[in-house]
Amino acid sequence: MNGLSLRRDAEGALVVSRIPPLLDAVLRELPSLLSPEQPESAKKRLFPDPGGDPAAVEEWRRTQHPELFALLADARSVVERDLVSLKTGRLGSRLTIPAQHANAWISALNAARLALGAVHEVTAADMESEAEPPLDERGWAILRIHLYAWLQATLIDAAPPA
Amino acid sequence: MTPPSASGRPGVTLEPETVASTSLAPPWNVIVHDDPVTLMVYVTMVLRRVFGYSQERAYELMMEVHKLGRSIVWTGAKEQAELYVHKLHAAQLLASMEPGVR
Repeated sequence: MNGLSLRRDAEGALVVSRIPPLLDAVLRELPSLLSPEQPESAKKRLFPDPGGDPAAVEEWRRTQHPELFALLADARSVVERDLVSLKTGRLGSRLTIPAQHANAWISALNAARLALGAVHEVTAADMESEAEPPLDERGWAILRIHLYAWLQATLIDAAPPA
Repeated sequence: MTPPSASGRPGVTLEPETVASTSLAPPWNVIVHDDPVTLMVYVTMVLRRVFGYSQERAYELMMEVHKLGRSIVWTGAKEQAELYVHKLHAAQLLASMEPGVR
């Protein structure tokens, strides 16, 4: 992403600076995409069923979903706290993501992308298209999915494999 | 007092003939399904972390998901399969489980 600057500070935190206003705005709305009051299509994608008969699926929801909801809520709150460090300056904004928060960010960015994709019924063709997304609500969702992908991939590249 | 021996020989007891049971529980497959939005590099990372696969193996499975729409990423006991599906769902991958073929 042109103009952006990435570096690690002495504590291993990822410091992203020269963030343009568009990406700044998109980052600030990340927690709202992970709110518990998501549209049903987003919830269905983020918390899929494991397959099997209806009784097994019901049991899965009852026993597994509370922890899965809690994990996503934890990632959301980490991101929300780190976004407090998103400061706007003359050359753009600056965000610091501590090394121990990288996994929460990777997870939150992934969930936000999936939620947008589910709500706007984004397809593989949408994702692979090199044309600029249309200037409508769905196009704006696709653009945000790509912007979040950039930061997610950057964090994955810097993360240890296991 | 020792009960009378069925064999008729002192100290020797005949055990009733039994058939050893070999009905082991069937294996279960853990399946990852394709998703148009999830990054390929993310799927590879999750497979490495959840199953401890090498980069090469995780990449191979991810490509199978991408090209074929799904891939059996693990086969084994039902309880372990449930645990893996839980971990894959925690990472927001589209994962399911189904009985495999013994």
